[in-house]
Amino acid sequence: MSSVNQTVPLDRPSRPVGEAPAPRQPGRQPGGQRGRWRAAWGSQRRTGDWIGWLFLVPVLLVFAYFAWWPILRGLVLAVQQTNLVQPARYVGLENFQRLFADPLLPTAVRNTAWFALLSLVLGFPVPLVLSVLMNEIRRAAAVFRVLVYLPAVVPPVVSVLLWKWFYQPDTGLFNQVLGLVGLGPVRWLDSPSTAMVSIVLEAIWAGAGATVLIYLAALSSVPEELYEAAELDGASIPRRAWHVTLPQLRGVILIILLLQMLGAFQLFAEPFVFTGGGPDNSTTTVLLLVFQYAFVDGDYGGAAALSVLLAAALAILSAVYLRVTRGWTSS
Amino acid sequence: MRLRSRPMLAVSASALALAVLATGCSSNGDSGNASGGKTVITVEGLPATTKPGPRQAFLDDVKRFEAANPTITIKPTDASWDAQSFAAKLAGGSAETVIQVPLTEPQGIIQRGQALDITKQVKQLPEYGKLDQHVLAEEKDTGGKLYGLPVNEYALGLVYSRAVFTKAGLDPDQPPVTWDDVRADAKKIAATGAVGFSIPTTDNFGGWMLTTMAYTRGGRMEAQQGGKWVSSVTNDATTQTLQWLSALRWDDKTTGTTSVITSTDPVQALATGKLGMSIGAPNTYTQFVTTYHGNKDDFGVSAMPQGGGNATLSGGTVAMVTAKATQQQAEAAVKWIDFEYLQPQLDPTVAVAQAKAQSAQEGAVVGLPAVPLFDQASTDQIAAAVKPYATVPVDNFTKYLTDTRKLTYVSEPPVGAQDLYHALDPVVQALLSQKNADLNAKLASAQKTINGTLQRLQP
Amino acid sequence: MTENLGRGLISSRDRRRPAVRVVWTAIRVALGAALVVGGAGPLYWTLKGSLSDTNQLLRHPLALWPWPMRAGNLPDAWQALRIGHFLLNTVVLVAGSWFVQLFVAITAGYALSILRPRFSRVVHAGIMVTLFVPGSVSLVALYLTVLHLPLFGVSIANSPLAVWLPAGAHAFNILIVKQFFDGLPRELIEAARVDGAGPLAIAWRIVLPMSRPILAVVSLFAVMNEWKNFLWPMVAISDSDKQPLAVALPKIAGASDQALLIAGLLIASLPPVLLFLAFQRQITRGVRFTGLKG
Repeated sequence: MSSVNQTVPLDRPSRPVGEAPAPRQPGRQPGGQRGRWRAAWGSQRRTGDWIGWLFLVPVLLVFAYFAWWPILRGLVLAVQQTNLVQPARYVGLENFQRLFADPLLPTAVRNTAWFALLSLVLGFPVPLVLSVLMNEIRRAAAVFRVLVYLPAVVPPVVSVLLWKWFYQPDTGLFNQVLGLVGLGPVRWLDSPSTAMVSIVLEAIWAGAGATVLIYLAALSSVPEELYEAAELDGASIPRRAWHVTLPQLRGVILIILLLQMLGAFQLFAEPFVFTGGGPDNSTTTVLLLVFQYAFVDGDYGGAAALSVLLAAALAILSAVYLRVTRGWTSS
Repeated sequence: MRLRSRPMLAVSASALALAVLATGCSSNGDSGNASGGKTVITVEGLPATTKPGPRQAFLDDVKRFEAANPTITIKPTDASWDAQSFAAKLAGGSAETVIQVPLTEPQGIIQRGQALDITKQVKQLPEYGKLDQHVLAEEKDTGGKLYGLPVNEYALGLVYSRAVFTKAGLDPDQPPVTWDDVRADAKKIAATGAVGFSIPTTDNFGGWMLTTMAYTRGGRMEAQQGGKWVSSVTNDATTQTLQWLSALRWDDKTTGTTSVITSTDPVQALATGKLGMSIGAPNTYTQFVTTYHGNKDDFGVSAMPQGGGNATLSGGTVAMVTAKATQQQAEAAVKWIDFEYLQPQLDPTVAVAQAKAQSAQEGAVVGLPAVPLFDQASTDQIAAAVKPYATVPVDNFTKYLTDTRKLTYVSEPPVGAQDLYHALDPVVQALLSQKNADLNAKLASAQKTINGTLQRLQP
Repeated sequence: MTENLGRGLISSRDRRRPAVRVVWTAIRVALGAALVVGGAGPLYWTLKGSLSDTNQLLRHPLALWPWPMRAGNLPDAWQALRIGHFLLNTVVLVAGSWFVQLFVAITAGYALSILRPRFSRVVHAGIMVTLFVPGSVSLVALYLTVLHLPLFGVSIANSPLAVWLPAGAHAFNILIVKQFFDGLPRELIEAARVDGAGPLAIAWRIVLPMSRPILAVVSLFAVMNEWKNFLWPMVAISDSDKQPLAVALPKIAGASDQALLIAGLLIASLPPVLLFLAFQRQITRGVRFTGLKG
């Protein structure tokens, strides 16, 4: 969905792929065993530790440089001003003040929220319905899976450039098709009222495949007995879908929704390549604003301040979401 | 057996990681000052591979320069200035020794300490005294030190398709001179199915176009207040321009229906006969002919249409030497700039030699009119000398030249011009995309954004 | 993964009912058609477009067949737009990132799961924390870091290292590799250790050979994700000559012939699409296994 991948494990108990031996869930691994393992290494405990830390050197290096340090640096940068040539100087909350005075900030926040809402309302049912239907396919299921995941394989920039061509007002594919059935022309990317919707449609097309595969995995573990019991009770197929399938998918759905939301708030490549934030700033997202602050205006402090705000917003959003939905997942 | 602990391997693995980091350091250190006693400089300005003729001509120039200056090696790149990546490139140290930037940039670059003081080297040039001091002023800091040299200057005008004009029953030799004329002609062009008038709206071009059109009605986008520059984009000239454009878009419907228009869209449309008029400099010709395969006799350009301001926006390109260069590199760089860009505009013999060499290449563009970097007399002399080798239909540019001379050249806004343009893009896009857009509110909001930036840029 | 041949929502009894059969067949046909049009359609259109003439494209965007055919677009795009050059840049970036990601994930997973030196839980926690900080949020600070590496004091910006090394800081890879290692039978490792095998020999001769499936999954996703990466390579590599195809394409798009551009789009999507078709079983399985989203 966005150029930035937020990934979270879904199959919490690790289930190895293929012919690998049966898993032992870390949670159930008795503490004693862990201790025993350490003890077994024990005779050479010191060497063991030394070698262990040696193996940790690569991960420590890359995380120190490219994960932990940038997080700290970002926090500090938010109260600094630098032009990359002269040394940075502290400016207190000046960056935030300038940020809040910029009329573009509310616009970007509104656009981002609008995208998130649209992509949830329009984008949530698509993969769900697709996967429930595909789960019933018995013949050529693999072909269906390939087809549904194909758009997710195409590099996002390529998809966007392709869709930009489809969206062309006169010669574009979509308006031509609409023209055949006597509709349109729709102005797609050229009107502030439809530009974001157009971007959402492309994002759904590009993102649905991966979600379908995740739902399919969850669907294959729905116990058959539940369906049989429902059928014996005389429940129709749509009723079974509503009362058995959906509740069984609840946990996955909730995580997917959170991921989609986090992805939506980091939307960048699509508006950047489609419209550059236009027309009339109608597709300027928060991340696009961060990019403009930093790499167009050279206002690195302001960009860092905005990043900090975005991070805080995402953290609060996730926390609230997890808290509100905590009660729903237990099944 | 092999089942033995070999911690050495793990050590070497970590060492590898460190070595990888370390090579990163060396590979990115400022490369190539002196290889075998030679001074190596990288220069921007090489035409892209899509223009093989002009590219070859440039490479030939490089060879001739290297032959004349055996201690200098030139590495040309086809990178070109772009608002999005420029600041990052310069800060990251990957910019060429000689960069070429629009006239909007030198002051900011000087202030950030990103360019080298080349006063000494430039003063050694024999023609230093002849350079237009007004032009040089834009590349000086407050202390009078010089950080760049102009390589070309242009004044914006009306670019149009002579073929579309003819088709619409208009005389291609009598292009419109006022905005009212443009509006009337646009209607006639639209009646033939082509778009009458269109301007780019993205990547700061929308703001740039709006600024130019405001100049022709006597407006200015920045004003000095207590020693600092503040935005004055809400002036009457801007408002009138917006109203005029709005009338074309929504009353006459002669501007097409798109609102997200890149800088190349109008040129492509002109070249393919889908558009009548746009705004641009004479060098739009190059794109029109080489990139979009337009017929060179169809390209028309005339002086900027006026609305009482009797002015046009003049811009240009400035060559600067990046701050990391050594003194030898700076000297070589100034020599190169002089050879490639200044001499051909001053010395008829050099100009003819260059024109001869360039015109031998297929698709070369020779003979485009220029705004004088020195004085009008030298420029006229050069134009006459080069005319036999011109590959462009020179007569189609005469009217532009004589009429533009009568206008006042107004520079781009002095501080943060690109930021100002960037903030104005949405205003133009709003106008073209929404019928009843509240343009005054949009302008006021842009003014606020610009003033925030200007405040940051003038601490 | 074995096909789920058990019953789902619709039972075999349902499937025999005429009404269900008619409706279900209709749905199946519609679903198939929608997936062909939506999934394969745009790719086919790209293929068609890259074999067509620009004028033809503009005049008949709906034509199903490229006629008159113009096979010259692909070599022209390769030459004039330097697609081959940018493609090579992409390959270099992807290969290096893949190696760094795999190397870091294996060493870290091995240390955290099998060797477990003292205080390694702190490291584990530190890695997991970064899962909750979206990468785009530290974009600017990461950029300043590669411009001036602390302690080294040098810039790796504008070199492939600026893409390779940050790719290694991928908490999710480490998490799944560690979880996989956690599930390996300790008895084997224990036996080897008793035989006098050192940590490295155990890693090389026991853990790695058993981990092929997970390494394949991590590799495939590393390659596919790097191939798609846009924002960071654009920021980290400002020299347009060194940029990968994904970053170069939008710039090319403005100033080139449309048919050539579409040929360029085709070339850019072919490698990941072919990779996917070749490994589609592993990839769809991998998505199920990890819940990774691309």
